[in-house]
Amino acid sequence: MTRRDLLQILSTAPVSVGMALAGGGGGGRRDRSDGRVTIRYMAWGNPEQIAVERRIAREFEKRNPGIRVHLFMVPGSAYADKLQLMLASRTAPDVMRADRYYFPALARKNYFLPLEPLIAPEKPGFLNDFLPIAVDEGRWNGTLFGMNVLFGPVMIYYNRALFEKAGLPDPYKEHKRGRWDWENFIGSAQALTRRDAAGRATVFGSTVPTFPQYVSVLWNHGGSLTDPNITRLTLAEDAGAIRGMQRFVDMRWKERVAPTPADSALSAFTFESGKIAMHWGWAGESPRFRKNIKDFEWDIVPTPSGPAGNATVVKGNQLVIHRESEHPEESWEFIKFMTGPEAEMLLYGELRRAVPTRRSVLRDPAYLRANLPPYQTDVFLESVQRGRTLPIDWRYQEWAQEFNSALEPLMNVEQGSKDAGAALARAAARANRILGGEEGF
Amino acid sequence: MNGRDEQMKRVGVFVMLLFGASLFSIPFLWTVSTALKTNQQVFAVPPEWIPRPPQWNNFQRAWTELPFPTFVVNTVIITIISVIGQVFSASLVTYGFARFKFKGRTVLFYLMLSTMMLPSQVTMIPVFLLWRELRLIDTFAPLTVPAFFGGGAFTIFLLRQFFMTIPKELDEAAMIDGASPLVIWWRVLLPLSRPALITVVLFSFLGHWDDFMGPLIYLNSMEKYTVAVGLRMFQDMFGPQLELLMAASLIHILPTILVFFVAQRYFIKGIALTGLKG
Amino acid sequence: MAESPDVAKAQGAVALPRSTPREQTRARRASFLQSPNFWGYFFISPWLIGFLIFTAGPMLASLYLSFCKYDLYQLQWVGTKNYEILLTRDPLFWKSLGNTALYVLFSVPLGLTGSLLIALLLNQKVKGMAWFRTLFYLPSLVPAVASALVWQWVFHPDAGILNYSLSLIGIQGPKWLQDPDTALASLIIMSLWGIGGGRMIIFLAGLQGISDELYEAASLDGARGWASFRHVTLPMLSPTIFFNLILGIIGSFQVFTSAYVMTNGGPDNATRMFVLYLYDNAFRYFKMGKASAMAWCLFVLLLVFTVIQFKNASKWVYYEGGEKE
Repeated sequence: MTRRDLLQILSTAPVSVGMALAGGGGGGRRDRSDGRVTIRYMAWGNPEQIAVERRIAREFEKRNPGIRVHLFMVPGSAYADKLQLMLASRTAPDVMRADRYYFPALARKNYFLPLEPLIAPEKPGFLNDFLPIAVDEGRWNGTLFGMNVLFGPVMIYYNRALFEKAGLPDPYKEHKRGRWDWENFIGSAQALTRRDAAGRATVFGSTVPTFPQYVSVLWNHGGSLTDPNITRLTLAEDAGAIRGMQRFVDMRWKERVAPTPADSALSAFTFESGKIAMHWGWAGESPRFRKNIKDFEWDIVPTPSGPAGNATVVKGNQLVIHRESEHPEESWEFIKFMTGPEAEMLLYGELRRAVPTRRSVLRDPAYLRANLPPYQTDVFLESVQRGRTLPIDWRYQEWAQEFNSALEPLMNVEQGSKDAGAALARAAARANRILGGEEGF
Repeated sequence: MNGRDEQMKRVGVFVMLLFGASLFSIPFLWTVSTALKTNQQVFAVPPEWIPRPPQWNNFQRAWTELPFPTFVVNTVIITIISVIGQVFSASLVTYGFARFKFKGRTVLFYLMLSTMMLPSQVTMIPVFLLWRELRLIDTFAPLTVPAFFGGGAFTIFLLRQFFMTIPKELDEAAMIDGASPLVIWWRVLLPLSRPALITVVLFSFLGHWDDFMGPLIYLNSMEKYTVAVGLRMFQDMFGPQLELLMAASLIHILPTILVFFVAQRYFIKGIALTGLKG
Repeated sequence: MAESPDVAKAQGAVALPRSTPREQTRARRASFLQSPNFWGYFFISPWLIGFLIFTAGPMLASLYLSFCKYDLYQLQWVGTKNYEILLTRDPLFWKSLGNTALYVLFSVPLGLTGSLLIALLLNQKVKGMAWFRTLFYLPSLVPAVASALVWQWVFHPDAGILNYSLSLIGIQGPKWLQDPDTALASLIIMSLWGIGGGRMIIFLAGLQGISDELYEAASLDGARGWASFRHVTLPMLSPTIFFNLILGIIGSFQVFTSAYVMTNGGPDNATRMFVLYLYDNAFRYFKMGKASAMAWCLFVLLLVFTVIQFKNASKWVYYEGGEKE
């Protein structure tokens, strides 16, 4: 008997006794009588996303008549809570999507099935077609637990109409000419910002990148967030990181070309409403923009390069198999199909909310051809090539929360000090207390 | 008090009511007004309180984007079953606590109250394990069955406070007439505590109608989801489209407004004590 | 315990009608069936059974967890270490407890008084009362999802209705939710918007129970207005006030949703409430043991509060049913 069973016994003792007395009990979960195996798959997403995943599941069932996929969707904002509850109570579905932010924390607990033994029977070099950076996100301590889906970079969405109105050159063309750097970006943001007679902004040049999107800005100014093994946050001792941080904080509080939290409360300034000229966003936001933007042209451009390069944050989600799944092979078949060329083409060519993880699909002209915005699909390709993964460890959620709340006076509070160096010193000290502290209890 | 004073008092009360009601309904009016706007109008400066033309089709869009009719049926089933269970079992339990001096009453009463004092976040997993053990995950049972077991400390304590204001002589008189405690519960206490029971019905209805966490964790199939879960999915999808979100929220609360409007009718002076004056 | 017939004979001159053992058992059973012990347990049995099945186990489990390191996967007994860390080394524990205490200190008395005043107002006989009651109740009906947005609008520093109203009387309003100095106050104000809600309804129901005869009698004694309120309404309403006070304290100490949806504890932890921090530990930092220890700290605090309130209640709570706390 493990300690874990003890918790189980403690909380369910009365019921177990009652069931024993009633001669109750009964076998495990059985499949339905038609002999097909049912695997349960849990994910979150918007209606377009759900529709595409449902189509993929149907397509998969057609090819694998012996397997049925029971897809269930959970509200995104409560997904993590439900996932953890199901994992802790061993009721988790066979296959689930896990966000990168908490994937290491879950993988560390042995909740997931290692994938290598399932991959072994596949053709040699099965993983070679995948982008190494995407595959690596699915590893924990060297073991592969998840296959990457909905992978994508941080990019800049821009409102072409506002650029034309301001008489600015198209940023994509500037980028092609090798001139899309921070000076150019800030200059454009200033020229794009419009104010009314009272001095109040009616259009903002840009949004401020949020955490962890802005880690790429730190990189591009020669800094980094943590040391390589994520044992402590180093950015406060890092002139490059401080410079990068100050650069975009000033956009909001000094140059005032980006909305403050008060400005953007209640979605008063959104890219969709045409009141933001440039928006730092994830690839996943494009279906929403496609659906909601009707009255102006928009497209994408990579994040501007800084004095120390142009590395871009990339991030995906992981498709994982529950360790206690009764159908590991069938589950792997499903994951294989979800990350296979056909599904990737459906998921990314059509929905275009993420970037394929297979190089063959990423370079496929059929994928790059677009009849709906964003048209400049080579930006996806290029951003992934500059891609760098975020330093996310199993305690990320806790130290990131502490770090961000300590940075709020700098980032979000009007009257807070706007000295990035001092604020980072304070925030890093608080986060490092957690990273250096004893194990979580 | 002469007629003139009475008149003055009424006018004063009316003015205060009018002032308070307008103050308190501002957020709601804003919700209604937003639900009838186009996305452009939502952020128009200065704000337009009466959108022209009103976008009634926001409600239609909100209603059809997710299978809301199914969600409504599920929510109605869960709510009705729970309300019935809660009112009956809570009033029974309360009668026991309020009228019988049994051994261990004080300790048990504190024990009952104490169940409210532990934040549910830490009992969530053990409770979930229990329902898993009963093989009732993805059914309505975890959401409805507990209502039949006393209906929760809040309800019992609330009813107890009311039961204890009912003079004991009334039960005693019935007892002398040979009525059993069950009859007294049904014939004396329940009719006399009608405002309190209506309050319990109202709270129980609102609580189950709005419950998000319960359905979220116990239900897995979308065809079993409730309106509150649907609303949250909706929020995740249409976060920046306030007009749709507000329309969906209004659809969600419309039944609760109706229930409140009907229930409050019973809070009229005089009804409570008809039994006493007869 | 029945005496033997021999003894009875030896004792017995006059044969009194004596009960047989079986009759005695029956009589005892009958008297048990009429005893408060039987009926009390009979009536509370739904709760008692439910408590034993659904609540006792999970509560004990969480108590056990509070002495463990439990990351939702492995369980390891660590003794009182969670409590030690919380009480001696965790600044956020004290910060969140302080925030919450401040919140309780303001929102409970203000909310209680406000609800009572509104209930008195809504208990009058005025035309269209159904509408007034509904309008006052409306803010509590708006679902959290929508009300979060409503409140962002109310507190908006430039476009919000609150600062707009303040500007009409020449006051430059603060940044409310965006300012660490006013964020907690904003949440308190937000809680007061609910004074027309549940608590008010309970008061209203309580007011219904006060017999008109009492007011008539008081008025014959010359008590009107304030005196009648002071000597009739308040004592008769005291059980309801007591209920709302106890529940107000328990509920406010567990405030979660408003902080979760409005500020998520910010800015700079100014609105990090106790249960919000507990929730983060349980479901985001995978520290269920620590979260359970926090829960039991709160539990003990609330239990002590409540027991003291009950002990005090006999001084001011009046039950017409004649019982004392």
